[in-house]
Amino acid sequence: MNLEQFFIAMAVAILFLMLCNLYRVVAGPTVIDRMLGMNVIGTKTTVLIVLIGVIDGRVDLFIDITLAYALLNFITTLAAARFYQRLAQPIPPEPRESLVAPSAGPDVEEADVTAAATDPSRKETP
Amino acid sequence: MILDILVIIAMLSGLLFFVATTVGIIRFPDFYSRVHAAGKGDTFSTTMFLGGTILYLLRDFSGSTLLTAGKLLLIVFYIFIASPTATHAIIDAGYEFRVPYWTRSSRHKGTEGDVENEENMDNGFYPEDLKG
Repeated sequence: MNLEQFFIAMAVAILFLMLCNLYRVVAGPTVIDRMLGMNVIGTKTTVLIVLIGVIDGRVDLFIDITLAYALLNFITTLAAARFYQRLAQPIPPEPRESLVAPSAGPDVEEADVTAAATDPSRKETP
Repeated sequence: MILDILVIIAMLSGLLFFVATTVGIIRFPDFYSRVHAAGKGDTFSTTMFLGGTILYLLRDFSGSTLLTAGKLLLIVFYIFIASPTATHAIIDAGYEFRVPYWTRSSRHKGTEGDVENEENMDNGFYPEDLKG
């Protein structure tokens, strides 16, 4: 039994279904949908490369390309997901410098220190 | 001969799962159900395709084909771990991005996640819908 025709048919079918997935990448309502579609397409590309190697008769050459592609796809998806997750975080407030030292006693109010620092009579000349 | 039939069965089931994944990704109404379709079907169909390729390679048994089949098995193992991890990262980003989710009432048109102003943000949750 010759399986060459069968593998070619499988590769063409995978290619067609990847094109169908491309619809979600183009018309996805949010950017996360596009990331999901690209993840599925990238995972299927590994299968497609292996099938091309089988058809070509040199699987041992194509298998390393497949491994590198799978690694790259995973890293790309993780990077994009982390980027958009960080983008959705609320911006933290600006850190405010305290005028009172942490070692100061509880009787020292911060308002007193502020008034003393802005007192014009105590301004020193440089 | 038996091995050929096994290869054909594995690849056809992989193709069936990939068709189901594609239909789910295109037809499902919101982001979370699309991730549900993609996370399972994509992983399993890739596993079935590569398993069929391993069986095809082991048909003529020698040292080099055994090495290639071992590498393919490593790829299968890697994808079986990495693809659900990537899906989890995507859905975590979507949850933090506040992608609106689908509700049964069609009068609320969900907008995209508007992170800047909270009152315009439509996350798809309407407590009056829960009363029936």
